[in-house]
Amino acid sequence: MIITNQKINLFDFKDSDGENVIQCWADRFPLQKKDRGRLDSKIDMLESAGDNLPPKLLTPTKVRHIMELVVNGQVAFRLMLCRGPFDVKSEFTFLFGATEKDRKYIPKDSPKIADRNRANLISNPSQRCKHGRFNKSS
Amino acid sequence: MDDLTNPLKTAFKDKDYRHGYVDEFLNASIATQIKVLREQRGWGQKELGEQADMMQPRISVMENVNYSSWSIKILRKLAEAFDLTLRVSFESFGTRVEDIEKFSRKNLERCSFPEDPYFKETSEEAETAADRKQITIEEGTSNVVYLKNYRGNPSFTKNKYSPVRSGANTDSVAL
Repeated sequence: MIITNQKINLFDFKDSDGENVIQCWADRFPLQKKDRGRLDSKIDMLESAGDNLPPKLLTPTKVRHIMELVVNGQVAFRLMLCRGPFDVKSEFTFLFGATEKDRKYIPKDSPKIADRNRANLISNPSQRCKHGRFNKSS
Repeated sequence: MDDLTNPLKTAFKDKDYRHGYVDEFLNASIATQIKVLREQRGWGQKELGEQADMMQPRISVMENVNYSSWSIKILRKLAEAFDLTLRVSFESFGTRVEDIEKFSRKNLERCSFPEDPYFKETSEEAETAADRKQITIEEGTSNVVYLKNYRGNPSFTKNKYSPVRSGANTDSVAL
């Protein structure tokens, strides 16, 4: 499905303790400023242009419903996300942050973890918040 | 992307952040524009490859926002395939923010040379050029040949087909 030409709403998944899983990943990794810029650039493009205009902005994973946003900085970052899950035409939810090395995810089953988070979110719609930019000092 | 001005004005104060941001944007915008220009011309990737003397898989690799190994040589080949020119210049971040805000299919499309309005003549220019250069010879019903200018104003001339009319001034008779 292609989402075209409308403002996209972006969300971050929160765990059962109410912690923003994506921001925690960025802070604990920790993401360097240049990589934060790279991530924000791609995410801004997704928010304004959807996944229709920029080619391969989002790539599928082997797990159904789970896609990844790729940023190749000093480290290869893979931000797992899904369409919706409540409005598949106008929203995406970031579910889990991972890296890739030697063509393997770190953690190994990152897409499955993201899928579990998606399932939890569908059961508990309050487990997400509006996506925050990464441009904080690391 | 027109509500990004304030967040970017703040975020770009950090040098590492702003360079990471625009580096990613540059790669993505080149890949996106190649796809937009190809689609604007109704070409598939194979046809673009033929125009640019590249194989289709190579085009597919480049039409990817994650691709970063751009070379001016390759961009020149693509520009020639699209019948466009390539501009490479260093820019200040302020102008880059404008590019980011204007990022859209419409703003990435470009006219090939034949459609370039800068080089198209206006209808008035075309008529003037035709007046000066175009003459037509039309054969009349009485074997009278007129030389006409483009606007169709007849002007008589002496030639072997000039008619002899009774009472006509012999000076106007054929040679």
